[in-house]
Amino acid sequence: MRYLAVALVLTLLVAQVAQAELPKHTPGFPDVGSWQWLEEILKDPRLLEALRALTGAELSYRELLESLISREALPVDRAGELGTPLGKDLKDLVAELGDPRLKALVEGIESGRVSQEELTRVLEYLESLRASGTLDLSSYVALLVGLADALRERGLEVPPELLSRLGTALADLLNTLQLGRAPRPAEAPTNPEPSLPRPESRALALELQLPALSVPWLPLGYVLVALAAIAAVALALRAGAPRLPKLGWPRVRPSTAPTGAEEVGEPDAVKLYWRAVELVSKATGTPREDHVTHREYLARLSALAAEPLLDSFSELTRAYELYRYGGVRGADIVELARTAYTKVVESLGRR
Amino acid sequence: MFIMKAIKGELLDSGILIERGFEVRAIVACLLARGHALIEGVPGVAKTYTAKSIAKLLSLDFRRVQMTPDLLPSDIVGYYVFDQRTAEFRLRKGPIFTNILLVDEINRASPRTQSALLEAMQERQVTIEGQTLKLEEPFMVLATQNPIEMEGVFPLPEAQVDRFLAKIVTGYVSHKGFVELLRRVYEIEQAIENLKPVIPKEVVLEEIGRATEVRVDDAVLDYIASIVEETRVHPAVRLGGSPRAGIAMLKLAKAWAYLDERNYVIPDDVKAVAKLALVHRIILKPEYEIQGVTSERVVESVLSKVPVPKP
Repeated sequence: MRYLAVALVLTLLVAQVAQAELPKHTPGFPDVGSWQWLEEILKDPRLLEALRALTGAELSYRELLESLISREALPVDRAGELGTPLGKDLKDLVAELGDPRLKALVEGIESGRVSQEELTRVLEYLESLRASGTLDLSSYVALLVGLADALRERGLEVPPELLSRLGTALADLLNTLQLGRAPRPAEAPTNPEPSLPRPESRALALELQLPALSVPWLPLGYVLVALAAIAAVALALRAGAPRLPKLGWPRVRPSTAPTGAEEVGEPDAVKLYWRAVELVSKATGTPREDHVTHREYLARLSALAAEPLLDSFSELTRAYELYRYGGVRGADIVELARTAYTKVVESLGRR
Repeated sequence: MFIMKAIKGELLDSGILIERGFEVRAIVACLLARGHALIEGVPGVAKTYTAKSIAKLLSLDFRRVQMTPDLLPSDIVGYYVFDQRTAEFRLRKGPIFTNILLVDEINRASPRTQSALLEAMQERQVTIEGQTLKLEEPFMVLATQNPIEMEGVFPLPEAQVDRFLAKIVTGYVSHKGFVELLRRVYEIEQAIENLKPVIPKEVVLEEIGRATEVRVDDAVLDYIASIVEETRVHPAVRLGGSPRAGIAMLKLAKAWAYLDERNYVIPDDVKAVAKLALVHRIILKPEYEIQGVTSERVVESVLSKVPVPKP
């Protein structure tokens, strides 16, 4: 499945390159022909699935999405999965954002109490973050999807405003991918009862921001050559040739946290420390910022964390420091880190 | 580690120096890093006492020079005098031929004298009448200066300030510390006078050698370079850190780690010494200076921007 999807994406890229009159890169948008862009596409297998389905369609991404939603083929609240960091749940994203209002809102939803006014304010706030570039589009979509899910799980009504913003954000997201065709006025399907009410002004703005790329006409010769090349690559991979690194968004869920027992090898002390940092960050709501050192982070935690967790995390930090900066190698240090990590996970489980 | 333990026990724990832990540690770090320290502070904050008492604890040759505008370079480095008995010129070495030289109020000396001193600091040798003489190891200059006075002083040019490995800015003690100082003032004065050398020269040299062997991971080197480079692009900075600033940070970070009884440097060491090594090497844009931006704030801002090594 993955190879087929890769094949189709590569075919598109080959065709892009083959068509001289088509610009390879629209200023202000990622270069479609670059490998970096391809890596972006390959981040999620489900995105590849969607891409595979879409390549045969005559519609633009937005049109297709709206069409899918209106036909109830794609639930509106799951549509975000097409291009969002799916591995992260709502709490992770809220913790990353570190905004107390959003945190309070999520807690309110969990306890079944949430006011419409508060929700509106938070949605506006999120939109402003998105507009200022503080929040990337996919995280924005994921947050909206997460909020809608959380409301539904608690038996609360998902307000139309949230769905409206979600629809707009999804359309933005899909258009940003730049792989769909530009809307063709003559053939554009009408959507008499759109399930996603969207402000017209916003839609107009979107139209203006859309890149002028269209799906190229695929010359049969190039397609055949490309497919043959891809088949050869796929066979080589199967035959045991060096595999490409697995791509994907980081997915960390406390429930699936490793115990450390399955890890083998020397880099354990470093890996285990960073895993513990992620877990502790989420549990205490204290993310480790980029400029904060491991000792500074430990000092910050000492004011927040309970003693068993603090003791074990302190031990793990010591092991990390010795391994990372002290050049200490060997089974002892790995064992020390592993034991401390297990205790950290256990302490978090008791919370 | 013995140096720091001895100094801590004799000066800090005994209460001879009150609330001067950081300054003492910074001076010892400079000594271990084979650098020189510039101690800056308003009058009456124990700059000279701090430097003098540390120097007295080390079994090293110690001299003190009080700088004045009429002091000549030869008064520092030395000169040849004609010996009538032997009918030969004999070298009379100046106070720079020592292990620890306390230069009090360095900005009171004329630029010519400052220049002679700073050259000796950099080269660790002096040239008198064409004859080059190496200075004995360890050699460290502890200079003090008062940033307030503007009359009758010759501020050190930036290029010469750069010769100091660290600038230690010292300030007032807390209210509690001040009361303690007032209560024990006679006792403290007497104790400083009675200080005896407790750290042999061999120990100092050995510990300097050990401090240079402290391990530094490539990621930490990268971190230091990033910090120095970031000072160059900071909007408030006219002239940022030079490669020498980075070298100073590295040397100080190694000494800092050694004083912490570690044989490896961590990013915390780099952060701890960043101000010591950088503040006197950064030149601010006048428009920002007028607004009250200081080099300390710039360094703080840089440290809060540059990511520490990851993973």
